[in-house]
Amino acid sequence: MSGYIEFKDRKLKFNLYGREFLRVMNPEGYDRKHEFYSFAKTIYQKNFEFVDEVIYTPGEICIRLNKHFQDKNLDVLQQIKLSGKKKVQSFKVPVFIKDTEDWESVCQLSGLNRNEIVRLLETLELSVIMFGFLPGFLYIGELPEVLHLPRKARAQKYFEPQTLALGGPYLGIYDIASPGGWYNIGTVACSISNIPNYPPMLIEPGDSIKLEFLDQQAFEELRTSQLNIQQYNGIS
Amino acid sequence: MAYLEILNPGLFTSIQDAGRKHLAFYAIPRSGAMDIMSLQSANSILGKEISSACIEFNFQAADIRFHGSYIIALSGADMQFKLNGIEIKLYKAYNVLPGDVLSGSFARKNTRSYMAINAEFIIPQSYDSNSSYAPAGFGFNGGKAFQKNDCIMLSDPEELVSGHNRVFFPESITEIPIYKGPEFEWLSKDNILRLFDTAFSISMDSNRMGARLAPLIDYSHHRSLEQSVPVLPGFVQWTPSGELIVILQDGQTTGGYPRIAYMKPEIIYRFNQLQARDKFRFKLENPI
Repeated sequence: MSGYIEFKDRKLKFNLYGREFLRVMNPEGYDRKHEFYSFAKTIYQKNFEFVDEVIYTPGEICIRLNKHFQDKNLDVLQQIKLSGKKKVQSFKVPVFIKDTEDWESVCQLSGLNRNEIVRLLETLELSVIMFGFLPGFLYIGELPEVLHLPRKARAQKYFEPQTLALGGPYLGIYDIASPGGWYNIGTVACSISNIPNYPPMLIEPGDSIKLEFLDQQAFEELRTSQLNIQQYNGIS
Repeated sequence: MAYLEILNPGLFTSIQDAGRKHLAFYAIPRSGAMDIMSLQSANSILGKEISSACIEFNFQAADIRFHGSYIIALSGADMQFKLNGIEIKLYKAYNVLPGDVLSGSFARKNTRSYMAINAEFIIPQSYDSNSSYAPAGFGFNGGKAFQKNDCIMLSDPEELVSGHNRVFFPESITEIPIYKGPEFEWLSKDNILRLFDTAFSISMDSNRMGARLAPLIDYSHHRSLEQSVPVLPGFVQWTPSGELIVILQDGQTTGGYPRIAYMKPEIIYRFNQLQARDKFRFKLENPI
């Protein structure tokens, strides 16, 4: 079953898969105004009886349904109103660029040297695209094409917590230790997640990011202070 | 204080319940029992709330010494369980006393067994669940599988009402019903024929995040997604190498591979009971 959900001045196509899940597609595929994310977050926060899970990506929202779902619930989704524009928070993200073995590949693939890449990253106003992959992972977008790198053919077994990495069209932060198929270029000095508390993430899609490059001493001092990213940015 | 002492950890033994709900939005997977029906059965025999935490054994039983007097029940795969060296039955309640040892062997049929006990495990809870999830360090011992000499503290024994008798026996399954996933149409006619003609099995390098299937199917018509998309447990992904991966309980919430099919939750539990040597075929179903 498929159809359209009227949302603001747009028609969002949906596909219903049995009584199992519902996909709502973003026709523009990219969520510059963060409205599609706000739509997903509103569904999530409403905690509807018929919804088990909501997963947001810029192109698609997936809603896991349960035994309480009935076709008439689609009308409920039609009536969702956003409470207002998403408040975009701006975060300075303090990072330390490390000597990792991945730098050689990054330079080779981009055709830029390490200093040029750092200078480029320093100038960029980046935007959080989505959560995903693993808890505590953040996809950050708005990178210039020169930094769009193909993912590694073979993932690395271990990235330490707060690894900063490049992969595909994204910059990523691995806030917890995990395997990783991207290129490790450094470490973030503050945690961006709040696991196992709620909400689990301290930054969300739509928020803007500016990288701040620290020398080793400043990085280690900041890390020792154990500030999280909101505390570092004076956000309570 | 009463506790369980792990004499031999078995394989990937952990504590699981019904998992964490409503957190996939933050990329936190549900986790929980690989076969929730069998977990519910074990609890049901003891008259406990059916989603209570149990010990989940995978492929091989752990050996456990009890330091306290309790009642236990086992369900799921037949791992030739013994209490103090004497064979005991699945789906039956047994009294255990301080010093008693539960032991077992490799699963003869199916792969997951559950031990319910009339007590609470005194372990860290994350997001209202006791389920272990290693990547985020949730659950007992930071989500790690049981290790030799681990000790799991127990509450006082709970008074039990009579069992609910909601017992489920995992039946063998050789045909896995699947439904067309969002990118099913990306498969060529040959791919589709191969998908439903092939006898698949679960590869040994599978884990709680995903089951890798063998053999590979053709990849010459493989297309890549332009960006990551949502995935749920039960989704069947088609990788560029032609390998199929079924997302499982600890699986990631977004992925970059075409989602060619999905299976319903009640089928995932049965799928998770398949052994590596068990062959199965997919059968295409139409959604209601």
